[in-house]
Amino acid sequence: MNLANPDLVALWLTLKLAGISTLILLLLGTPLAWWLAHTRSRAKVAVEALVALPLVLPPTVLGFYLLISLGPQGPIGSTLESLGLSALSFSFAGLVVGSVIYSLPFVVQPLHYAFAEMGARPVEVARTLGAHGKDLFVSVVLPQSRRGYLTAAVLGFAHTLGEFGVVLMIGGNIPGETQVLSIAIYDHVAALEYGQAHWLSGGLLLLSFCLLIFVYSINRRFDLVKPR
Amino acid sequence: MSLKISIQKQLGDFYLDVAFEAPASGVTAIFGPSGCGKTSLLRAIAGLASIDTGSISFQGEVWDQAENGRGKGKGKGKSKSRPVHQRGVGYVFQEPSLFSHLSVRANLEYGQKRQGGESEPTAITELAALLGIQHLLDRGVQDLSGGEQQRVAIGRALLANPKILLMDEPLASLDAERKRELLPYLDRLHRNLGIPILYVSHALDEIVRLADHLVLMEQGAIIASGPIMEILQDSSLLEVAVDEPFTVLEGKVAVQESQHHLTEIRCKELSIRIPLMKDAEVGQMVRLKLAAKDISLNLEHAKSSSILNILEAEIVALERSANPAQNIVRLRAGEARLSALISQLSCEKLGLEKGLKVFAQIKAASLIQ
Repeated sequence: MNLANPDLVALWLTLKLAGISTLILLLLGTPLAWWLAHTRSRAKVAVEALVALPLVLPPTVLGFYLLISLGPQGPIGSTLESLGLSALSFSFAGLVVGSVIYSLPFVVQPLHYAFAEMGARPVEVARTLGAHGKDLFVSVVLPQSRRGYLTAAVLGFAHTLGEFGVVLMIGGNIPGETQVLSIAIYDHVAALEYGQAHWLSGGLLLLSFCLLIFVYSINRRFDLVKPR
Repeated sequence: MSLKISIQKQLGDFYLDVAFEAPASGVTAIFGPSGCGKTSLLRAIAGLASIDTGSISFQGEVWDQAENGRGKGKGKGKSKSRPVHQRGVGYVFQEPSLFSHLSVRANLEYGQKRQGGESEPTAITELAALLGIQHLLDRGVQDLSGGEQQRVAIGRALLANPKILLMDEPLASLDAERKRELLPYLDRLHRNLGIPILYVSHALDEIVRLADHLVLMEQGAIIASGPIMEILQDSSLLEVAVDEPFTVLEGKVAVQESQHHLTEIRCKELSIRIPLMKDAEVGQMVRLKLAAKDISLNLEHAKSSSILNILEAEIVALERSANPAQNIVRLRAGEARLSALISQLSCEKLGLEKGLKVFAQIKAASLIQ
């Protein structure tokens, strides 16, 4: 009945990974989505496709390339080692990098739509009223696109919770360092520990379902109070 | 002259190339048909759009200076552009564009708060009273009518304490009734504000009512600019933007003939009677619009006519109109100029020609309001 200690560790690690990745994704996704919503550059289509790639690519492909580049022999890994840091493969930091790329479309797309829907006008009005920079973002952009931010955060978080292939490829299965829930479940099943696999799978199912219910309900609620 | 503009910008398939100066006070209207570049001009002045070449300066401060390439281009030394938030422009857009996440009061305070402290707490109350929105302050913006929203938008722009107010067809998104509701407020602003207003519109009535100066635009270029009554005297100029020929007279309320329900307007030596203006005061300035189709000509003073307003005039010119059956007869009555739309046949029958003395019978003169 009780979750064994390694499972709690895996749960905590998963939540930590999802939380940190979501935070980084919101920070990176904002300028990227802003650029996508406002640019007239021809590069837009290519960037959109690049951002959407994790939606269609097998996670193992993504994980494979990340393993190659983040590992001690890879371009990023070797640069980090020459700077006196360690390579990112088989580390929590490597998982964060992988999750950020893997969940990028789930954060960038809602923000992109939110910015496009808001249009340029609220920002123009705010600028003529003396706002600029961070003040403008916090006082107008953020509240005007709050629905997009909530959706992006929840989808990014939920999607990272369910990550398996990428983690397996670049992180392996180190308890307390890279062993996340989905991998713990896989281990339980492989060891025929169906009881524990049930607890973890059921929990993940319920959590993901609740998060999606939240996303759909906020989108409906905000639709009702949209101006005009 | 406080605002000096000389800018060029390629806009899709036409080229915006304008140069004019606007005075330090009063309403300067930018008038022209839709798509002539009025809005682009206003956006460039606000700094919301870049210019290709040229300069914009206000009260001696250079807002934009671009010698080649993009106005916002960095480096190269020659191009500079002051950011929007440092220009001190109030901008009223065609749509009210209120912040939907804020209450009416918070919308009004938005610009005021960003003015570096010196805002007076009474300013909102006073301005809200002037704009008739004091009862709406604690509402959300979605509950307001279009006219109310636009009044809040005007108030919000003014509370930011701008040095110049730019209005881009503020009435265009409203229906006729809401327009009538908003115009008196604009009138009041005009009289109470110490800052210049640049007012973009393609509605002549609004402009004739509100403007002191006129900048006439067509296809990205300025055809005329100057004091509005001077430009209105040259009616051929306005006809690029207006279908029907007309003239405008400016005069003062001279006599209120209440027993006949008439008001007499004196325009220099001419006097014209119009239906009684109930709330008018003697001495008040008014503008009258005389449509050319409402003026007929007579060679003698028709003593037995039912028409009240008959003015002695001299024919200045005969011109063809868009309709081949009718000519436009340009007249001078005293110092005022009038236009009459007369059929080709009548012109021949009466032998109308330049220099002939005639009597212009004005069937209707509408007060511009």
